[in-house]
Parts: sequence; structure tokens; C-alpha cells
Amino acid sequence: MDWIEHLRSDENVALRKIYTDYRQPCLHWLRSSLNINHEDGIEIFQMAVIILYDNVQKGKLRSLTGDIKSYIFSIARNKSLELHRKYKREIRQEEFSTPLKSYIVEESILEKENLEERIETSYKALQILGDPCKTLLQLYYYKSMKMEDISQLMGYKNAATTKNQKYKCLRRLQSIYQTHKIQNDSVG
Amino acid sequence: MTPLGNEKDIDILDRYIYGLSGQEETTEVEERLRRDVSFRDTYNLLLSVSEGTRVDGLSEKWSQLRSIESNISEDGGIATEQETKSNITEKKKKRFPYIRIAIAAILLFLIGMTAGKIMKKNNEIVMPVAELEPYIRHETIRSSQKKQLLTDDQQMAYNNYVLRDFRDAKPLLKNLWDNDRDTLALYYLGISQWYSGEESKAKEILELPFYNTYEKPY
Repeated sequence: MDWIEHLRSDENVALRKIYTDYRQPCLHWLRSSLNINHEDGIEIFQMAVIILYDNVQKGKLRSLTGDIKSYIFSIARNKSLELHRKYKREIRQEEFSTPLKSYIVEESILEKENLEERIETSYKALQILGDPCKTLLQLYYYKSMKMEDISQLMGYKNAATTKNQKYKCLRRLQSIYQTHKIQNDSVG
Repeated sequence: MTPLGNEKDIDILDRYIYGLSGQEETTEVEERLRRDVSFRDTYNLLLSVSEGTRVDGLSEKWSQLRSIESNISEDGGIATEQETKSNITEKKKKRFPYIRIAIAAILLFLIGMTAGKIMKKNNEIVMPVAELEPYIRHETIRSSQKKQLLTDDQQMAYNNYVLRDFRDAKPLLKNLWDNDRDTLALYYLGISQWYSGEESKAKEILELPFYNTYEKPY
């Protein structure tokens, strides 16, 4: 099965299948090979699946050299080592308790200063913006879809109309930052 | 904050952010970023959007995985691909029965509270309370902060939908789609039509490629 294509075309079904197929083997492997307990194992496995999904959506992962199981296990292995290091530094509570947040911060394209706060601000502004703008921007900026494809999905007349709508959405987003006085260095 | 750059500048910056600019354009962009405040603000806004959409997407998937996990855990935490459906059913039967009785009592109470509202509708399918849960995608927490996220029209339409008052919800949802191109409203309209017995109309909406990843009642 082409999991990458499946994750792009029918992501919820693909994620569910990957999760249920590889959860138990991964937990077993983490326990027997790396001495990771069940609770941490679940967290590590979930992060591995999220990272797989993120890499596909960002276009970082376009094809698999091995099978998907090896890919997930290799991420899980790296995450386990991180976990061991964090245990060693006795800071697990602060950092690993929110693994998704840690991953997002680590992989962010934004400048590192006040990063967590700025990421949260971007997220909050998008929630205020709402649909259809939020979806349009997500399809364009996160899923890197072409204007033509977005037009078809969202029922816009053509790529030019969609592009114009995107511009209006960005203007609205900027005004949300101003109206709600979201102070954020990253948006000027 | 300076005004947003024009569409041409945004195209240039989009290309730059995704590493699609040629060498000459990259140099020009970097030069402008140094001296043009408005251009730099637009660049920072686009970076922020790019990150925000990613966080939004990942948060949604994270919740989805948590939900799958909690379903698996409810089945004893050892559900695997080898486990057959009959094994799962067998396990469920062995579980402590009072939990099921309590849940059933709560559901019956809720159904009783809302039955009048549901059953008065012509030709509408009477649905259990929990059945709509997978098809609710907006925040339903009541707080002053959350309320600001929806317009008044959205609140009214979405609330009717959540209450399964599909007859009242449908025209409001249609208006949201017609006027604002609210894609979530269109999805809710499809679900409302499905539960109102208008299955073919519902499928026309729910089969749109846009809803590939959304839960469907069939």
C-alpha cells in the first residue's frame, strides 16, 4: 500500500489504520528493546505517528525507502532516546509532559525567541479567523496544495478567485492581530 | 503594524518561504527584507500563518489519535490487528455490567429530555444523542472567550445543529454556505439532510472531495 498517498488523500482513515495496525507491535518493541513502559510507549508511538503525518503534509516525506513500520519504529526509537536523556536531566515533567508542544517548538520555522508564545498566538488568531479562511490557509500553507485544487475542493470559481480570497483572508487575519491586540513580534 | 503587502509581494514571499525563488529573486527578497518594514511585516505574518496552520492541523490529529487510543484502552488496552471482532465483542460482554447500565440510564434521560424536539420533525430519523458526536467539529464549550470565535449566525445555526434541531438548522446552515462560503456549515447541512431522510442530497454534499477526511454517517 502507498501509505504516503493514502495519508494525503484520506488522512483520517489512513491514520486510524496505521495507529491500530502498528500500536501493539511498537509498544511491544519499545518495552522489550528499550525498556519503555506502557504509558510512555503510547506517548512515544503517538508522537511517531504525528511526525509521520507532519512530514507527509509538509512534503518532507515523499517516498519511503523501507516499509512504514520501519519508519515509525525509527522515529519511536529517536523519541525514546530523547525521553531517556530527559529522564537523565530530571526535567521530564516540564518538557515531555507536552510532547506535541515540544515537537512543534523544535521543528518550528519561526525565530526561537519567545517561540512558544508566538506559536500559540498564531494558532489563536487562526481560531478567531475561522472558516472558510482557516481551511483555505491551511490547505495552501500547511498542505501545500495548488490554487486550482483548493478551488475545486472549496467550490471557488477558479484559481484567481481563490487567490483573491486568500488575500482577503490574510488581510482579515492581520486585522484580527490588530483588533484583538495580539502582541506578537513575529507579525510586526 | 504596517498595511499588508500587495498580492504580488505575497506571491514573492510565498515562493521565498517555500524555497521556490530563484537566486536573483532570493537576493532581491533578502535585500527588501532588510530595508522595507512593510515587506518585512508581511513576511512575518506569512511565517506566522504557516506555523499557525501547521499547529492547527497537528492539534487536530493529536486529538484524533488520543480518541483512537481511548477507544482501544476501553477494550482492555490490548486490541491488536490479530484480535478478531468476535474477541472484542466477547471482552465487552464480560465487562462490569453496571457501567453500561449507568451509561444507558444517562442516555435515556437525555433522550427523554430531547425526544419531543426530535420526534416532532416530519420524516426525520430519530437518532440517539451520542450519535451526532462524531459530526460536531466546532468548539462547543460555553464561555465568553469561545463565543467570540463564532458569529451570531454561526452560533444560531450550529447550536440548532448540535441540538439535532435539523429542520431549523438547515436553512441557517444553507445561508452560511451561500453567503459566507462557510464549509463547516455546508458539512453540517449534509449531515442534517442525512438525518432528515434526504440521503441523496446529503451524499451530494458529503461526497465533495473537500470532506474526504470528515466523518460520514454511512
